[in-house]
Amino acid sequence: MTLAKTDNLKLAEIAILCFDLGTSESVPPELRPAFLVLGKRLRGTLMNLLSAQFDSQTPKFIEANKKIGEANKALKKTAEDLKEAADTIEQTGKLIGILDGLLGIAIRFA
Amino acid sequence: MTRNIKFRLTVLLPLLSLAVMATGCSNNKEFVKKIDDFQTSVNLTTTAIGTYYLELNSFERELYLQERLLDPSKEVLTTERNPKDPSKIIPTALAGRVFSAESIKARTDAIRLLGAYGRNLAELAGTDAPARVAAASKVLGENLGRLGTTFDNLTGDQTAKKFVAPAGALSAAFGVIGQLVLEEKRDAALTKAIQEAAPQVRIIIDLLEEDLETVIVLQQLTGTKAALTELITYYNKNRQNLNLEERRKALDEIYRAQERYDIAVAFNPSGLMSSLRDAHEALVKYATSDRTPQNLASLVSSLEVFKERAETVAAAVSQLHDLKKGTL
Repeated sequence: MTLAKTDNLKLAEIAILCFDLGTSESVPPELRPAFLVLGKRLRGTLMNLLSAQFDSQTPKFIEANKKIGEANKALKKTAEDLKEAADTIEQTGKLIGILDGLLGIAIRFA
Repeated sequence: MTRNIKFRLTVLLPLLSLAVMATGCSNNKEFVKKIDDFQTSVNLTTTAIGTYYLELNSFERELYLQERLLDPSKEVLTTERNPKDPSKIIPTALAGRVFSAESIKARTDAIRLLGAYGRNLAELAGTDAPARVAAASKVLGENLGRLGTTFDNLTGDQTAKKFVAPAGALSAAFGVIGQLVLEEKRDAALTKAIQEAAPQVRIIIDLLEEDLETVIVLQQLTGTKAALTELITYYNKNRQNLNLEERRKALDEIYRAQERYDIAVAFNPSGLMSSLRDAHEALVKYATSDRTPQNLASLVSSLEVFKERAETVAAAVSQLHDLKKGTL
């Protein structure tokens, strides 16, 4: 079994992107607080994931890392074009759920 | 012609030998001085990096309280339901420890070991009282040994365990140096100390560097950004209801939060470990070489870079403190 960590650097990037969108004039004022909330929830999950290690072959782990990549792309796209901001908020929210579920199957914290 | 050569040999050779001896002597003096510089930079590093670790939990506590300051709908609590498993009650960031005490202790102890290593080298290098240094070396070896035992007891925290082996081995390396000092073989003692400690010092530097990159940097970047975003959101939402003084205060807070974020972006503490590694490798290389001026120049250059980085990070840590206290 190979132990691996989630892509925490990318997760941190996502959290920072959320915070950026939460204070950007190009984001409609009514959507900005949602990005702040997402950023804070992501950060909370990230703090738990920083030392967690997983079986790299577990489907949940593979899926979580894939979703981290997708969310990162979606947020970067949203930062350029805000048409799908609401979808991005929903997608990032789902990612947090997946990550929280993943913590339950951590092999160890190292 | 033969006479000429003979003259050259009898007159020039001793002069040349004297010159070489003088260079060697001055190189050794310079080496001793450079070890002192190394220790000063290691001290700065251990204090600065140690501060990051010691403040891991207070950083999270401040974020928790700031969130409640700006959002009156949120209660201040010491325990709460675990959002992932509501049947369990867990401490909040106010009362709990986001990072375990054992985990932090393992890392700060590892940093103390590096500090003790630098101090020991400097004492060895500067000694004119071999018996005193030999005794001090023995005591240090024992103290470091106890530190190693502390690591051994850190069974509850997996992240702490990886520091156990190198810390214990580094302690052992110091125990054997004292005798050489007593025999007045200072240079040999220095070389032996540097050689024997090198593998463990390398492991500790690698572990700390990885830890700083994967934990501290991410915590600082996301945390300072969260604090900044929260303050901006609060201001934008409430600005119409704030009077001039209240707005000034709120904007002042935003300014300081932005400065803290900028420092987190600009000063990556893991870079300091990379400079420490380079300086340490140059020290090992010089100690085990024939100590030519070229080798010394390379050591001096690595120590200069390390010194500059150590001073920069120490200044950044101090600036972060002042910003937090509101004195900047």
